[in-house]
Amino acid sequence: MLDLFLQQTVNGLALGSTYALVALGLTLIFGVLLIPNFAHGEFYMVGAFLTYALVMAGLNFWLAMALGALAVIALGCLIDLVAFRPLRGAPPLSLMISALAASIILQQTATLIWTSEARTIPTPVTGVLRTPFFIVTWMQVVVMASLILSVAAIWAILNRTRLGLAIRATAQNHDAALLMGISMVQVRLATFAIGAALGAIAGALLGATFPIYPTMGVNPVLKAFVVLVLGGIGSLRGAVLGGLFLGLVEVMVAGYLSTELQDIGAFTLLVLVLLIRPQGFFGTAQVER
Amino acid sequence: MSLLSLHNLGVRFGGLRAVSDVSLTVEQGQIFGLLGPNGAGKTTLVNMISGLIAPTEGSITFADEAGGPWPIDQAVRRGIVRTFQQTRAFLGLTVRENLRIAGIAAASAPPTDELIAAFHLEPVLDRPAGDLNYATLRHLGIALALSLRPRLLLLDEPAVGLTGAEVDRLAQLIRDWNGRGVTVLLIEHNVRFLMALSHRVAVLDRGRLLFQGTPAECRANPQVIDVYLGRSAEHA
Amino acid sequence: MARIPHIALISAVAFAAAVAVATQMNDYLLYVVILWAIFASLAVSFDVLLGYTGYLSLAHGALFGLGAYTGAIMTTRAGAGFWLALPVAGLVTAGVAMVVALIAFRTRGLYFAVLTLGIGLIGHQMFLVASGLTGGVLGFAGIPGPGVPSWLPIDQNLWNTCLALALLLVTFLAAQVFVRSRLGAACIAVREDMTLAQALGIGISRARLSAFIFSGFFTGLAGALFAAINNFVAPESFTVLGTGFQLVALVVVGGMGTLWGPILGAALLTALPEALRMASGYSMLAYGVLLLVFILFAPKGFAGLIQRGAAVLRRPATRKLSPTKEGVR
Repeated sequence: MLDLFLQQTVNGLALGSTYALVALGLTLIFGVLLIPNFAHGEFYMVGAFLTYALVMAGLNFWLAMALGALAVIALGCLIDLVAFRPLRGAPPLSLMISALAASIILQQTATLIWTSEARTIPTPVTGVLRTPFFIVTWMQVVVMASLILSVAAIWAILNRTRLGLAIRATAQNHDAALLMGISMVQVRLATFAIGAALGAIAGALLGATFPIYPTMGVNPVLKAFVVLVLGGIGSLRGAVLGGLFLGLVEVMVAGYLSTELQDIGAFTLLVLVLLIRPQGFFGTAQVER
Repeated sequence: MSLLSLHNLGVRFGGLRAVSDVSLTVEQGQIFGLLGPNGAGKTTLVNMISGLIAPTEGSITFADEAGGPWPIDQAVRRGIVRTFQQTRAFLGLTVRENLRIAGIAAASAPPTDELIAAFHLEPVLDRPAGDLNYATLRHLGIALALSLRPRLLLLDEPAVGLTGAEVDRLAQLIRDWNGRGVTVLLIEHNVRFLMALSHRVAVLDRGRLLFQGTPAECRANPQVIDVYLGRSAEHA
Repeated sequence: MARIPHIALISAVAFAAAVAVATQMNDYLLYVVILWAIFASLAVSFDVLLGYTGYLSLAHGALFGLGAYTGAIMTTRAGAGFWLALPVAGLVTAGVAMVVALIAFRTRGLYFAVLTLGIGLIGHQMFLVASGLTGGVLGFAGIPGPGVPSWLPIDQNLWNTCLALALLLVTFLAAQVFVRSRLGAACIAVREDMTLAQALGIGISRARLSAFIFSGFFTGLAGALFAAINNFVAPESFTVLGTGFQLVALVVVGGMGTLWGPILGAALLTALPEALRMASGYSMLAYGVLLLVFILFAPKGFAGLIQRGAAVLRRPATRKLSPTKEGVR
């Protein structure tokens, strides 16, 4: 009984780590630039497909992932340039619609290139680690380690570099940051680059375990929004904790109730959270009667 | 006859007491001025009276009806209508559309034509509110509130950012509508403007009521001069 | 603003003209017209919500499906006729829309879009999972079409076309009445400035709820008609990223908040893939690109471009003044 629970917990944390990776990028872009980037799921998808294509071309998985992430960084900055930067000062509805359009364009382009057939990336690390209480695959270890490394890297960038300071200042108060002479171009580029890279890495890692297909980004991005609501917009810690929590909930629902309910469980959680705290658990409540 | 009475009204945001223990009475037909430095809790008080935020203590009586403050829609139905410090109008719509929409919740037909004439909106009727100059936008904001034929009009710093001549014109408009039976609770930190208009004034400082009386008494009150009036009066 | 009787007259004439033209069309063209008319009515009722109230719902693909399945079940399992199934589908969808709205309107902005996206996904999932009712992934076959009245000497395709055009006419007129009502004015107030709307005593909850229910009802009608005309429906027609997204594209490209713009948007986006004989993958890509181009460069859509063009044509006299003024300088 306890063994099963521990095993589920490990599986949940591994799944949650990928959610956290996706949510980190989403929350960074939304927290700093107030862009509801629906296309974030497509960063994730393109990361997976590029890794797949490069691995198929004979490259080592890790090299393929790194190159894929670089390409997605370029893609992220391009999306910002084309779809979001021209809409500075436009109503939030326009940004949302633009993000939605970008998301569809990337999905459909991917479908044209790779067809809607599902594929898998050969797993770079195989085998399992057996402990007295649970079994964990090395791939799961890699995923969790990637989350830890990513969080450490983001923390270092945000807290130990001048650019990071500029990003944090922008997230606090956009206008004040402008007044202090912070270059918004740099902040936007850096934010999109970090966000896109995180998405691409998550996609590559998950693609080594689960099938990949052009609309694979839709569910994770929606779940990342769930995580955002759970953890509070713009809160990196919230993204990590929320992601892990969502992973645990899903695995527990699948393990103890039914696999079919796994996704519905996540969305029900979304509905419940928004009902109880429409502004998220750590967001500021707005007075509205 | 008293129209509005506040009984020990107060609110805290978390640990912060924004307003505490404010009791005052506004008589029917008065222009009641509420003075206070920035951050004294003036807008918070208006927010509570108008039903935008709920007080954590105290209550209000309006037109002999106890049990307030009421949520904003019910407050409006009772005739308590407010304007906003950052003037609000529907910026994407024309002035005409603004006035049409403002009237939809009115109990009786809104006095739209009179408002257009009084606030000199005729020439800009078909312009989007977002294109208006600052003073005209202020006028529109007040006209929108008056469309509802309020019994009590809460004006939150209506003179901010206006030039001297514009302030005088605004004062005359407020006097006119007061003369037509609209009781006014006016919040300002433009002392001259407020003193000239108000029949009675109160001074709020750090969330508490410091003084209540006639403008003349206010000017003579040593406490008021000490915390607030002295400094501003020199500049005014 | 034009008045309702004028609009009704013009719409009725347009409807009659469309029917007259339809009698001369071959079956393929009729099929395109039906597709356009159904999507145009969807877009018009969606515009009441998106364009007038300012809320981006991504649940409407699933609501469209709900109407379709309700109509299908009514006319097969329940043995009801088309003319009973149609209003029932509208009412059922409106009822579910009300529940969705009560949940979703606790949020706003991005959260509203995300929440309705989640509800849209759950709805689509339900069409797949509840296979006992919906036929699951294989779809629902054998839905009876709306029978041609015996006294009418026309064939089924032309009749279907008339019904689809009639639905568009009714939806358009109902939407015109709605947006001109007090509720419609309140919806505009909600879109423009919610706090000011509240301060003016406008019942914002009632306004936006009515807009959502209104769009739900007509989305349900469109769904039932779609099912009856096709005789077959499957979950793939009701995805968030398919129909749900297409509706956003139709309304934005056509022109939000105009009601007639989305009809043009539907015409453009239905005719384009057919005219170019695009594969469905390309047509979705085209939708995405058009949506992006319009939101960036012409956020008021096709209708906005037309209005601007008309304004330029109407004002040649005032235009002449400005060069002279600059010439003096």
